Amino acid sequence: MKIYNWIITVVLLLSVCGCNDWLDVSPEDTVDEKELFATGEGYRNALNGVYRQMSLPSLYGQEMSWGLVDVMGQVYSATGLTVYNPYGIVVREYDYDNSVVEPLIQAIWSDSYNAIANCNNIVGRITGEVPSKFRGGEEEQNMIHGEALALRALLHFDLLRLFAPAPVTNPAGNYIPYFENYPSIYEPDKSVTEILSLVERDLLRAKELIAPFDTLSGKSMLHPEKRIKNEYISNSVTDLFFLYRGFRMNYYAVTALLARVYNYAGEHEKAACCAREVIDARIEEYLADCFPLTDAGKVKGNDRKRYGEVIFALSNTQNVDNYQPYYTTGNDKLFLADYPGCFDDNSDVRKTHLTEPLGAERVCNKYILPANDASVYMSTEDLIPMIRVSEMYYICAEYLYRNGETQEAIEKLDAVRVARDCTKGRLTISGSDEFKEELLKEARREFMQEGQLYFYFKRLNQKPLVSMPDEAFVFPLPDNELIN
Amino acid sequence: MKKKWNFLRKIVLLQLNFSVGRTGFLLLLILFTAIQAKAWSQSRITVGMQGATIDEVIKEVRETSGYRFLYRVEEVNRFGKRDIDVRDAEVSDFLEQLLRNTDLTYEVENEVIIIRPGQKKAMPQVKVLVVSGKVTDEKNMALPGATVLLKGTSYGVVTDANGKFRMEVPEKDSVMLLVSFVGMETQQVFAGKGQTEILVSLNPDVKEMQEVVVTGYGNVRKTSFTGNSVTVSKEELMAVSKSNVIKALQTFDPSFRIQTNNDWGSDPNALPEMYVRGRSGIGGVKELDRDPLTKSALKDNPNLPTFIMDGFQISVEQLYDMDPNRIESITILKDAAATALYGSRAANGVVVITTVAPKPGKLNVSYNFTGDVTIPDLSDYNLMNASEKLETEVAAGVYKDLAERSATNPLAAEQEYYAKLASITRGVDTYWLSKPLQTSFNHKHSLNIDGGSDNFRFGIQLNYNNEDGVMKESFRNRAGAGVYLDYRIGSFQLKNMVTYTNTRSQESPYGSFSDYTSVQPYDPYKDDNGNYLERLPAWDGRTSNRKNPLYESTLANYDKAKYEEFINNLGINWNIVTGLLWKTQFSLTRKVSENERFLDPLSAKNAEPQSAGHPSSGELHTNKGSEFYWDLSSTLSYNRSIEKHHINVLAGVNARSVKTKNLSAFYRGFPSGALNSPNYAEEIVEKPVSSDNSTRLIGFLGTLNYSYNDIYLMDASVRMDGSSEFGSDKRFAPFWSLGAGINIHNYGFMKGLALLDLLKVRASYGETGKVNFPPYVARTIYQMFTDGWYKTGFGGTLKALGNSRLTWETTNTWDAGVELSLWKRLLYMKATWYQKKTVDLVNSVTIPSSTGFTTYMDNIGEVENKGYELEFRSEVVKRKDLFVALFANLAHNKNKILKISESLKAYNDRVKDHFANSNRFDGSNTKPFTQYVEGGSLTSIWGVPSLGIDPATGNEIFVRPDGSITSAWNTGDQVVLGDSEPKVQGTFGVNATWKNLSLYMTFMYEAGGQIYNSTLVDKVEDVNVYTSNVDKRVLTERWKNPGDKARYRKLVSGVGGSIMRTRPTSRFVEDNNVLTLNSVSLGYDFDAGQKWMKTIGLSLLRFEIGANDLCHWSSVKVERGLNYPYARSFNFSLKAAF
Repeated sequence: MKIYNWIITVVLLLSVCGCNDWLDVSPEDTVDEKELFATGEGYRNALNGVYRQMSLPSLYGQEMSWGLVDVMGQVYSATGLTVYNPYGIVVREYDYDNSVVEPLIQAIWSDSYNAIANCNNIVGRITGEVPSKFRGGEEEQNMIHGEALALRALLHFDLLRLFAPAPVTNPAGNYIPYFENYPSIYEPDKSVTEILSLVERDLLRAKELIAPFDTLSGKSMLHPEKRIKNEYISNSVTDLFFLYRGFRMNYYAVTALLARVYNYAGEHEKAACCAREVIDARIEEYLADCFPLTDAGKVKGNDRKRYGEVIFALSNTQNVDNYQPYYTTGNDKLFLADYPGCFDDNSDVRKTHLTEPLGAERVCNKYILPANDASVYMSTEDLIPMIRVSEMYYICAEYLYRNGETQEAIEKLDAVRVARDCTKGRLTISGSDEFKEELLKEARREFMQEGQLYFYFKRLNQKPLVSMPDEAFVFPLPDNELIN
Repeated sequence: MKKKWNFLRKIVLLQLNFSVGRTGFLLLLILFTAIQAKAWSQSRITVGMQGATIDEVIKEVRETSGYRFLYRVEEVNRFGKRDIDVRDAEVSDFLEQLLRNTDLTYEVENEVIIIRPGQKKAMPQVKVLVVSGKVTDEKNMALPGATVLLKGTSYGVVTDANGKFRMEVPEKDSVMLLVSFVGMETQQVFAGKGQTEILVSLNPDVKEMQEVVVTGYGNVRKTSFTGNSVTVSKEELMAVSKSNVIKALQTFDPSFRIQTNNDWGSDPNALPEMYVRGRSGIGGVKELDRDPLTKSALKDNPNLPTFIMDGFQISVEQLYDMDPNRIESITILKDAAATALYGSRAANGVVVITTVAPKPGKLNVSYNFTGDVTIPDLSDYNLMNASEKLETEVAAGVYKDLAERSATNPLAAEQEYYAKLASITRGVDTYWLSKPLQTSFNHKHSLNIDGGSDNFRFGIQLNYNNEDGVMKESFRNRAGAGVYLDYRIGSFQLKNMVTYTNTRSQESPYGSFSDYTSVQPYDPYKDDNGNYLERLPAWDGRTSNRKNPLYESTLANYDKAKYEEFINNLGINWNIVTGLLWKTQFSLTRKVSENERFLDPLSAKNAEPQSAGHPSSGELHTNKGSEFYWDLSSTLSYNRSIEKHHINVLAGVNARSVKTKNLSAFYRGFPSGALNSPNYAEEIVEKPVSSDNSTRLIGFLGTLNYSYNDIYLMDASVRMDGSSEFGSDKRFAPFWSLGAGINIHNYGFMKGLALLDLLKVRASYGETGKVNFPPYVARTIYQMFTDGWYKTGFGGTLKALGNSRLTWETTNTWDAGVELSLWKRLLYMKATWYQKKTVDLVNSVTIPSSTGFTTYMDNIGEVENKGYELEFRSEVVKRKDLFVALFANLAHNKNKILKISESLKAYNDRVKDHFANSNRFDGSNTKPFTQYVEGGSLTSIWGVPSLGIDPATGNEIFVRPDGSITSAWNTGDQVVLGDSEPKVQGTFGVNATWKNLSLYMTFMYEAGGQIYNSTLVDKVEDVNVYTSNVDKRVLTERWKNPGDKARYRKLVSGVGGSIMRTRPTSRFVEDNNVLTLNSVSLGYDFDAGQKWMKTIGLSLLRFEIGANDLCHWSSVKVERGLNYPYARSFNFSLKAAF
């Protein structure tokens, strides 16, 4: 009897101890977070996941780049759009409550916050990890941590720009929540200033975390060719994860984003300071600027995305397919508005080579495969430009202008214009309204299908369409947010 | 006189003592009849028998006369058989003749006749042999109180406390002893010359199953068990249904119910959904999201009981496809005291199935055949024939409306009418309903071979069952084989059972039955050559796209499935010491399934039918699945009686692992119906999808059953369950139960009462659980991108907001009952009251989407089921040749939602939106959908209260919640109009045997529930007379002119297609009272031992005829079996053993 009792006790004890692990099973097409984050590779996967989510059509793959946001910015004319199409409704009436428009807004909200939740899980878990878990050691750990923080800031910042009024209107009240933890089932709404300062805090911290990697061991990866096209192989890093720094939240992307945030918040000096850091960035060992303005000749050679000057981008191999329905027969089309009116120089390469005729109208061809010599385009076909260096020039220009240095400001704008084959010295600015107008025109020419023009209008508190209702600068909160 | 009585009583008491079990004792059999005052002198005797022993003659005589006889059976039987024939003789004459040629004398004292050996002759010729031995049970434990009888006599002894016996028998070449014990099979043993020490091991008798409750982990004596259970034996099950075990179970427990499936009727491929004691959960797929093509929602079903076969869990499908002949008994465990051992799987009740084990002895072959004729039951359909239909069209104004519409050709309407009339005159009157149907003949064979010695037994089972449905070419065929080995050595027993099942099934290529109920009866269905028409005639000369539903059946469409299953169940039992048993069982199940659905390129059902612009058509969906389960349980039990204490303790561990894999693919574009292999496919439409799932469960359990003096009873169980499906913060969950009871009939003072056999009062309380949510909701899980990498590598994102605090749903059950049996089971009654409260219902909670998600799962919600059950049995006549028993049962259950979550309110809003959207041409807004509200039930019928049709306008008048009246149907005005759960439901029936004939008949009833009569909506009120066939009631009670008091709105012709949709209204909620003649079976047993049977070696032969679902009476006239009709089945079966 005694022996049996012992045997039973031991068996029971062993099984109880082993049970918890034994009960940890998960389906094979999904991975439990514990299992995923057991290795450094898992953090890479989770981060790639966030980028991938952001590049889908519901976010920057369409609606937040060439889709809904550009429609709101009146990049496209109403001519090609029917009233049954959500874009057709928005471009004419800004009716966000319409049953075909609402789902797009709801998806922007839900999917952005879902991506934020993904960032938060990375941020929350990575802080306690040991650097040895990562192949790239502490630098990689910090880099992933920083990128997740910066992406979280970017997503919140863009939600703020859509779902809250512009800071220039000094809005009161609380608009959107800022999520910093996963899991969390509630966060209170915060004011525009609070959100902006949280975005700034996260970006500064991210910059600090990413800096060691991008400015020391990984600096060579910021070479213009290498960032985007991975053509410039000269160092030993062959790890896929570290390649294509231009597609990721690199050090300068964070800096440029900071410039954009300060600019939106009205802190122009800080904005210009960050912008200059980006413009001046150099890789001394290759005697090259990191972000040179793309030569017009390259644009004529079908470099339609002007990849060399892109500071941050996303990737989606379906880009061309996603855009195709909008310039094919029988569908609604995205004809460019204000063409050729917005172009003041007929040799502007953006006019001649980034637009093409479709019937009697013109369309932008950034997402159209060139009919001839497509090889350059093909290598960046999947690229979705998020921030390009020209914006840094504009930020500088705006700071200078507000600071009374009008000529210097014009020079900054001209730097971009010259690179686009415009004649230097055409710009004359007298008065802030004229500056605003020139800036908006420049943005319209420069950021076609990149989702920025609307925010220029909003930031400067100018309606893109005269008949636009006042409240249309702010998206209504989606139904699935307002549950109580 | 008085002295004699005392003497008799003493003997009776002695007898009682034997059965209670004392030392060995020479049993003197006393035969006496019931007290009948008959004058001694006046009784005369008439008896005529041939080849009877003296004992048999006396038995016959005492039946008819009032005499008592006192004699030793073996003494009188020494003198062999004799013929006797006396008529109206004096008793002395009769005795003289009876005892002729013997040395017996008799003596008459008052009414008692004592027969004893005569004094003059000694009997040296009868030598006495002393036989002794020991009787044990199958676990080699001594059986005190077992009876050992000399075969053919009433002479015998009982065993002592050590199971030993000793008896004197007349010395012959061989002596046959019969050894019996309550609950054990009676065994015959030879006690030949020189073999005087005999060891007998008895096996449990399955016929005595009522005496123990099978909990799946062990057996508990029924008398001392305080849980609530219902046990059904194989014979009872088979008497109700020979093919559908699950359906038959309903008869025996009024709380066990199969969900009515009005859509799929008698489809052999529609697996039943069932519940015990009401529905307890909300999860799973709700009405609004249900795919109309799925026949049952068994995955994550919150109401499904757990099925345990021979100790391991099986699926509904496994039980559904099992050969009923393999079943030994089924026990339904209902309350917490009975189910707590199953912990997190127990809340919905547990059904325990035991299968037949081989019996030792010479090779025993038994064969069972059941033939089954299944006939479609169309009695609920009340559709028009061709001429009626055309008349109705005229009456409804179809041709008037047509004439008005076609101004360019005023004669078109008339042409159309006469074309139809000509068709009818030609004799076209197509009875579409019968076209896709058939009367099927199904046969079932089951062969069982077993035998072996006590130490080594084997059994082989083979079965084949073809089940053709009443829709042509739909079937479900099962074939199976099993091998059972049982090896015993010393105190060890090793057994292994291997079974293999192969099931193939096919859906009818004729499509849905509902396609045939709307077609026009004046439409011909075949051409002059007898081929099915591809298109039905265009009566109006324009509409060319009228498809003939029969045409699809000529194409190569198919939808078929098959699975193969292999189960190995290994068990080891070790009797460590008396009463201490170690039992370990390990079962493995491997199942491979496959199904394929193919649409011919010519089929109109293709998403994009073949056309000039779309030349490639035809679809093939394939799905391959494999499942692997293992289940291990190991228990140690101790069972002992110490004086008046009876203890049964068990402790053990149980682990289970389930792994399923699925791969599905979708191909499109086939050259022809015959070339349907994936190789011919033009494209793979979607990347083949693979899914994997794995769950694990481990439980530690313990149970105690204690009784004192068989009067005071107590049960306690506890189980600690760990499940991979729980959240990571709460990996282990405790479940427990307590029960108490009193056997009042065992009190000393009650024992004197002859009328009372049983009076037991019991009550139990416990907490059990259930898990029915997808495994990922409890944890944070990443979904990896399998369809493409990101530029910088492989990635994944969060699949859902995991809730690591998520726990099982807990059900708290109170159960109390009383059981009463009077006058030797002349009347048996059992009454139970219960209250089941399910708390922590797992439900999705709506959260702001800024969390990144819209819902997460949490334990919110409470549902209560309260009710009572009554069971009644009466053995009305219990005579040698005639036995009649009546039985009836009744259950009442009231379901109430106590608490719901926000997400269910959101679901209610979705239901409201569904109705608000008027553009639903699929008719889905004419059916009511249940909404969930606190205080409501899970089976409520929702709709808007109606005052009926306004005689003035012909519009329906609705009552708004504020009492005001409106003619508009508002989705927000919906309230509960009724409840589809009946107030009472149950079964009643009769079981009778007369000589060799036996009859078993059961009725099922339900009353007090409601039903939404959708036939009145779809086939009477909303009907489009122009385009489809209609119910015969279509013209009656219609509103026509102002002032008409009518039940239905004005009939519109349907020309132009504007048919108003009647959304759920109280007008069509009807009380649903149903009575079904569930089963009838009549059997005949051939007397064993007849000469002709012996010649061909038959030891048993039984014929039976029966019928299922023969009649159905309902207070509501509604079409039943919409996609697949109901059927009646008649069967005959034959059972033979060699």
